Amino acid sequence: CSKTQLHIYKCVWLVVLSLQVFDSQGRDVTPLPLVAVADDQESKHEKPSLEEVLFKTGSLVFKSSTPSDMVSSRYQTATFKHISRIRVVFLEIIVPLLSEFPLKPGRSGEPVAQAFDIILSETDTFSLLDLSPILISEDAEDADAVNQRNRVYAEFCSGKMGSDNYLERSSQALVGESKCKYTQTKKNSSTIATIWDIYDSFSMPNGYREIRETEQVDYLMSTRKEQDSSEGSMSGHSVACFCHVYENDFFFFLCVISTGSDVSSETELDADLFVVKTEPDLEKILLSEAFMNSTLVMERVIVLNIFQPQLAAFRGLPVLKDPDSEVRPGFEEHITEKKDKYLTPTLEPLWTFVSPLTRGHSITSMAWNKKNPDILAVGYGSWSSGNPQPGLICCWSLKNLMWSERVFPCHNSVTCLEFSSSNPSHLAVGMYDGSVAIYNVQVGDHTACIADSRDCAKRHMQPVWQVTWTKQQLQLSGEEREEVLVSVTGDGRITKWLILHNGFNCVGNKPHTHYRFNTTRDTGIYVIGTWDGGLHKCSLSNSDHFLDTYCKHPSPVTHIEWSPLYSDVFLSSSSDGTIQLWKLDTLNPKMSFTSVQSIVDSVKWSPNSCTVFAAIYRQHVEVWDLSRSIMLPTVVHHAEPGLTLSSLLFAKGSDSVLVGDSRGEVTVYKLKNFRVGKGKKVKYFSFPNILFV
Amino acid sequence: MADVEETLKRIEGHKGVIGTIIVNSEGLPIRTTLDNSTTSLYARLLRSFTTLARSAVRDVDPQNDLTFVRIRSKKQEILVAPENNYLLVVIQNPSE
Repeated sequence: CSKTQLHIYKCVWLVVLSLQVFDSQGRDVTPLPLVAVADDQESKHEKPSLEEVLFKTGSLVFKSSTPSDMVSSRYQTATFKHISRIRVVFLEIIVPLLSEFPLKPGRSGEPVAQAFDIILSETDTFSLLDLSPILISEDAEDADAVNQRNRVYAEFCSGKMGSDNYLERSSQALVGESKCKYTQTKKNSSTIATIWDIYDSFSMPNGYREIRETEQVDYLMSTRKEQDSSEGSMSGHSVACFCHVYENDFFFFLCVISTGSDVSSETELDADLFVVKTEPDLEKILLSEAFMNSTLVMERVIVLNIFQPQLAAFRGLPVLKDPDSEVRPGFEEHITEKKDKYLTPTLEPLWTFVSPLTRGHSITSMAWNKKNPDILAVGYGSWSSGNPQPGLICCWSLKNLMWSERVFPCHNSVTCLEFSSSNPSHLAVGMYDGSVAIYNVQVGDHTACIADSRDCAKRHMQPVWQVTWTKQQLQLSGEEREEVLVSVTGDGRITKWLILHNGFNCVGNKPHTHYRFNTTRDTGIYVIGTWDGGLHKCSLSNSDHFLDTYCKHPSPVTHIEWSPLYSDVFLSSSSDGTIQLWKLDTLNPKMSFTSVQSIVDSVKWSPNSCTVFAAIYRQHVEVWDLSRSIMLPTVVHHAEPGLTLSSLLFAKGSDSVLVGDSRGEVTVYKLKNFRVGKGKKVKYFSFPNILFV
Repeated sequence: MADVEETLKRIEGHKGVIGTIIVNSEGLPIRTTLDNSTTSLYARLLRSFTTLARSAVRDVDPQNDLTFVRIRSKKQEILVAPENNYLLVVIQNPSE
């Protein structure tokens, strides 16, 4: 009998695998597996769970059908009341079921298509322990003995409490088995609390936050790639943006709310969509202003990397060799050369400011910005035989040596330019046709020209040879110093310009013989050089006649320059090839410097060292150091044949000189091996002695 | 638009510049002068690096922000200009 039953139970196992349970209304109430059924035999010794009991062949359950064993098996499952019911049903009901539907033994794995009706019902109560009380009458023979025994027992029970023989001890009841429940979400949202994210969330005003929401909605709708922005369906869209914003605000519980909506996630990328989307991306990025700035900065960084040694030399920093670069044999000699201290002073070329736009123009003037000493304005123009060509102004920055960041085309050749000190971005420009203009270099486009004298009634007709910004005392207050623009032209006028709202007005004076150059001082005294070689001292207050006249040069004066360190000393250069050193109150030149019979185009003092000045001749540059020699120039640097050098400028704070030529290039030279006179007057004892001799 | 294109061409033509990459906000390169494998490698790595750098800078002071990143290695220098919606990456070998 047991053998047949065992056989049947094995068949039951096959049936049970594909079991489906329907209740009276026909609904499928099949219990789902909570965990994946693990086919290990090891869990036999553990408490059997519902699944194991239902779906596993455990020998402990289906052992035999003898009553004692039945009891023992039931006892083991006594805590699972509902299970016992089902178990018993199986034992009782499935057997008759199987007798009606014979199963072929050995058919494994094939689900049976028939539906079985299983009726669950409660069984009779089984008694496990029955201790019934014995009743005897009081008149029985051993009633006393029983009473005695009862009394002893009652005492014993009452004495039990405080007695040492008995201890109160508790033992733990059976702990119900814990249920392991797993959940899965489709949405993966996480964030990290960073200090800046908190700051951003709280510092954004509410209006902006809404804009950000709508922006994010657009973003979510248009890019359906990321998992947390994958709610693309319309029904879920508001919730998606809701939880997106709240992610950033760290309200985590709201993320839970969002998962309740009915959303569809699109984690698949459409290949066509992808290609189309990157095109407008690129366009949008390239046109944005931030990208313009990024490219600007990037170009500067790259150029700085390329020119790092040259710029270090310019700034007077020690040039360090890059430890990772390969050493080339030519460099070795270069390095040993530097170690020799007693070398002759030379000009070493560092770099050249040149760009395709400037080729073909000749450089006429250069000026440093007063506020930002890294910005250089260069004026280009040429007028061969009185025929001027359209000119150009370029603003170069030391941060980008290969491309000028501001280029302003002019209608005529530029002859001179200067930056203002009170408005550091204003650049005054004088041109060959007599017009004076002011440019605002902060603006990069054609609106940079903020004033032009072409419409002014009293404008010049002759070339403007110099424009200067002078600080002048206002007559009424006497305290303030306002800057005025003064221009000197070839028609003999020195004009003061008043900048009106949209133009110029000039206060002119003194038509005289042609003026060529002029230079001004704070005290209102200025010196004019004329075409006929005379030097005149004049005053701003007295505009009718000269105060003094210095001895003449035989030929036109080309340039006058005040010494930056001595307030009454100036240099003049002229076409006769001489450079004269003057003191303000002496009518004869103190010193005269001649080297070559050639037109001296310009002479400039060095702002760093008080005995050094440079002069530019057509074919070479001379640098004079008066502390070394007053007879000969210290350095003579020749230009390439065919090239005319036309402009000269010193760089403040750096031992360098800039030379502009007729090819449109500005070359920066470093003054090497000069004894650096720090420019303090203390060091300079010899100079006044020379003057007073 | 022409200015920007011109500037980009100038950048690409400077001495020592090995390549230029523009990466959009999702880490996908949208314009590059290098080959695809190198480009995607740089784009992926630098995107996470600059996010980390920006996070570090702003954690110290939330009012501050990252403007430029330069990584100098033995053989080259990687220059990154980070913005909210793109990265401009240039790889240069300055000692060439």
